[in-house]
Amino acid sequence: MLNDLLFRLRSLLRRRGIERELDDELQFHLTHQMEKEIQTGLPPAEARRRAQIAFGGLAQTKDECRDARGTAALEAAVQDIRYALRGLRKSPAFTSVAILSLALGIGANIAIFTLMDAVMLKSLPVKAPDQLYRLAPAGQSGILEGSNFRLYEMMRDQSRSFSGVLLYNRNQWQVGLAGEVKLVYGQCVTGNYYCLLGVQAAAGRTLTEEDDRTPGGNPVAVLSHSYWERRFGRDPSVLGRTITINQVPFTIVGVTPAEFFGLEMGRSMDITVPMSMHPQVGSGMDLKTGRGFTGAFIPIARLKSGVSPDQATAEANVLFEHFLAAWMPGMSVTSRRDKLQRCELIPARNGLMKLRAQFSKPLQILMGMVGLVLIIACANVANLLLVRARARQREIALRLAIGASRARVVRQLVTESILLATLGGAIGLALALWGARVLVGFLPQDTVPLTFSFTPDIRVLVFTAVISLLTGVLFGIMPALRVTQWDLNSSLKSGARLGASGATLAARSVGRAMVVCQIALSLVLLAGAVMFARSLHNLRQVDLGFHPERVFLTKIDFNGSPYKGPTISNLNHQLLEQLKSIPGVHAAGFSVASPFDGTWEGENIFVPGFERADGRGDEIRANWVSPGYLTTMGIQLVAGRDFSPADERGNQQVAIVTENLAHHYFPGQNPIGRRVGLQRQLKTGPTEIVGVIRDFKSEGVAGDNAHMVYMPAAQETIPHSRATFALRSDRAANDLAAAVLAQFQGQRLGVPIVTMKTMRRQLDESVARERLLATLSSFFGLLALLLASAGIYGVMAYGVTRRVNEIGIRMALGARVADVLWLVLREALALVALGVAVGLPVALIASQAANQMLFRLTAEDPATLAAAAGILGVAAVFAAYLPARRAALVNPVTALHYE
Amino acid sequence: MAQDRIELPQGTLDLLILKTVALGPQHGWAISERIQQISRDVLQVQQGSLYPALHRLERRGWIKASWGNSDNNRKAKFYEMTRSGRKQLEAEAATWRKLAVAVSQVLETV
Repeated sequence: MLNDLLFRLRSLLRRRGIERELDDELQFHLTHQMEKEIQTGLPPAEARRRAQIAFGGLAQTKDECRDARGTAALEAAVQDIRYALRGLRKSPAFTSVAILSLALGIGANIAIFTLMDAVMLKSLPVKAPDQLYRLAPAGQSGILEGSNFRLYEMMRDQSRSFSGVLLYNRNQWQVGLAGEVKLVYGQCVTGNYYCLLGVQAAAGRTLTEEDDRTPGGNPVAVLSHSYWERRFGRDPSVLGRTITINQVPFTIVGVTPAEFFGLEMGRSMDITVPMSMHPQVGSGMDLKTGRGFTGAFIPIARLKSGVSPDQATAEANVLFEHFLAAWMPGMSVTSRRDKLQRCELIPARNGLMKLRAQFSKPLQILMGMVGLVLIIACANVANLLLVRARARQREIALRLAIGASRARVVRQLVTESILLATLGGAIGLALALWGARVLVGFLPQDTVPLTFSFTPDIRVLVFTAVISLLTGVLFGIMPALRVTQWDLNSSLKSGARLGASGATLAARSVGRAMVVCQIALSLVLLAGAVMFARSLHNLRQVDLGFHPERVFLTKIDFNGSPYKGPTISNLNHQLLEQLKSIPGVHAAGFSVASPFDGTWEGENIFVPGFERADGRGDEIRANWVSPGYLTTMGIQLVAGRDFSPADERGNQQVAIVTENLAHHYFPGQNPIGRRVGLQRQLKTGPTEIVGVIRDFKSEGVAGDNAHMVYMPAAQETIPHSRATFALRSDRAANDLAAAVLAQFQGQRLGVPIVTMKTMRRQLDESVARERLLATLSSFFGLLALLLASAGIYGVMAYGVTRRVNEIGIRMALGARVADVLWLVLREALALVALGVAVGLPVALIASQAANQMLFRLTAEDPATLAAAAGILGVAAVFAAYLPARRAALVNPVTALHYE
Repeated sequence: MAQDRIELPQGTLDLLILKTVALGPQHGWAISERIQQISRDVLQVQQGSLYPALHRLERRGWIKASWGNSDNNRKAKFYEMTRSGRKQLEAEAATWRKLAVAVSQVLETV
């Protein structure tokens, strides 16, 4: 097969040489044959004649030889491409409009596909990723994120279905290098990790079973390639150097390959150390006690070949029962039912990813939308091609008349359209690669930026090629078939005359049908865009209970630092004073949890008269803040007072509660001065309510307002290791970031900054999915509208040109400018009406897919559809106005002479 | 004599060419002469039709071509057997024999 192709290509490239050789070869034969005849005594002339008869037709033989060499088809293709290129160069306006439409349509598809590929499709760059499964306990409340060390051991040692089971434990570490401390994602892994995954080191070595043998005995670390690049500039002498992880020195022994980021997609595990070092660098918790399930503790199993996932699941569940009997005796019925009912095998070939669950559906919806955009673009180009074919009708008729086969002419025309699609695809790919980077900006950024490799992998390239080719054939074949079908004779006879021949009418009706189609599809897209935009708008209208604008957040984490207990609280208050001194800062405060950062904790409240049968308190949300925090965040104090520096350890415990909490427990009474019990403060006595604030959105814009209690950070019994400083200032975020950084570096605390961002950004990230959908669907809706408008314009302009004569007669008979304008506009509006009628049911059905993603809105909302139809109507009037204007300016005398 | 000549059945030309080339490198004219001689002028091969077949066999990789000098010292294109050509010849010859046997059996039994 390959041989054959190479042979053909060689023949094609050496065409001239091959032609000469063929001549020589056949001539040699004829000469030989002639000599043979001469030897029998014939005169040379007769000998030549006989030789030629015996040989047969020379030209025909040559043709057959060329065919036999397989170059004929390729040669024709090259010819077609040359011809098409020449044709496209001759009409630059048509070519650029067509290529631009296609580039936008194809580019949008590639961009969304690239994102989908990165989030949903890409396999881990490891050996046989299809065999990898996450072992996850599950129950009625869903799948547990983490696991248990004893369960892992049991699976590893007793299962016959797996060729191996590994365990990793992700962490955030304070990593010190040359006196500078930074927060880095890292993991502890079992010794079989790299071996089981089949990942080799890019430099040095990976970790082995040997490294995992002695507890605490092997302080060795392997770096990810990207970390090696970022922090060490790919310095090869890094091997053997020492870094500190949470103040414990580790020796670097290797670097992993560039494409391997660990088992979690979008989050790079930058440093890997053996599990035997977990007690030294872990959270201080002993993982081997057997009890409890830790979230960051994940077992991955590799299935033996020949074992089905069902068999393995069955066996894993038997072991799971053994585990529960041995290590979890006396477990309550509810936790058994809700959390530990069974053990599931979850395919891990794409890696694990939190974002996937959240973004899969939106990406699928967007993929559907860009598919529609591409169809609209195709319809446009097909329309352009039809008009163009009409202009070339005579040329085509002539070619058919002088003996070109219909198939040949069709192939020629389709070559042109595939060429257009290929050029469009190439530009689209460039647009998409740039666009995909912009799209990642929509995904919520974690502490460490998301790391996706956007190098277009083979899947993206194949997708581009296939979609371009399909597009080319899709919009090319129909016009090509129609043009070659038109009646030869009438085309030739009618010549350049622009009469209403059958062909013209046919072309117009096909053109209109396509415009109706475009409008119907645009309606679907616009309805989607309006729907998602309204949903986002509804989210934005929600009363948050605070003012997010002009607030700048800086989050720090003392975890792993030498500071403990009250020191942390004191340091935080000192830092706050430093930050307040930054010029341009109007107000400042800090808190443990910050809105929408996902770190809110539960607290139990005990109020006299609200005792529960089980003796536990009601669960509410809690936060610990500094004085001035409420003002900084713009949280309105409804009654009482803010915390003051006097509210410190040893003094009366105080709290500020939300209005809804006050209404719930003290209906119709003044809550100020009332005392409640709070779980964490029970030892220090009851807490006095000193203030009431407005209800507050803490965990999500779409969520309900929880009952909340705020306590002074200074009164915390065991201070949290994290704190988020909030600054209210009119200064630009970048300026503030630099100023804050300078203050922190001046302190030389060795405590890293986890994140710095504006409150607005944190808010946007919490509605990332809605923003992605609203922004992109609006963009694609606009694109569809633009393309459809171009379609309407094209068909109308073409129609006016055809009807110059008729319009001239109408005007001669007394039609006014307004009448003519209306004549054209009416037709455009009729097309829109028809398109909307076709599109409405489609839009209604399609929007069901998004119903669950809407906020305070249903998919069937009539206002959405009315808005979409209205936008289309206005766009159609604009698009048809220019041709209508031209029609109205027709001079009847000229028009009638035109004929 | 002429009426005794038969047209070559479809696909057999390739077999004959392969068989001829198997005897050693030959140029086109020699191949055509050889086929005529061996078949004792029974088979009618239009000389011209030989060449497309040669080029097709070359494309398949069953024979390969090179330029050399003929007996009377003129440049000629010689064809020679390749290894895969030899395999092809064996396979095709076997098929042909089977077919011939089968057809003659059918003819005799009737």
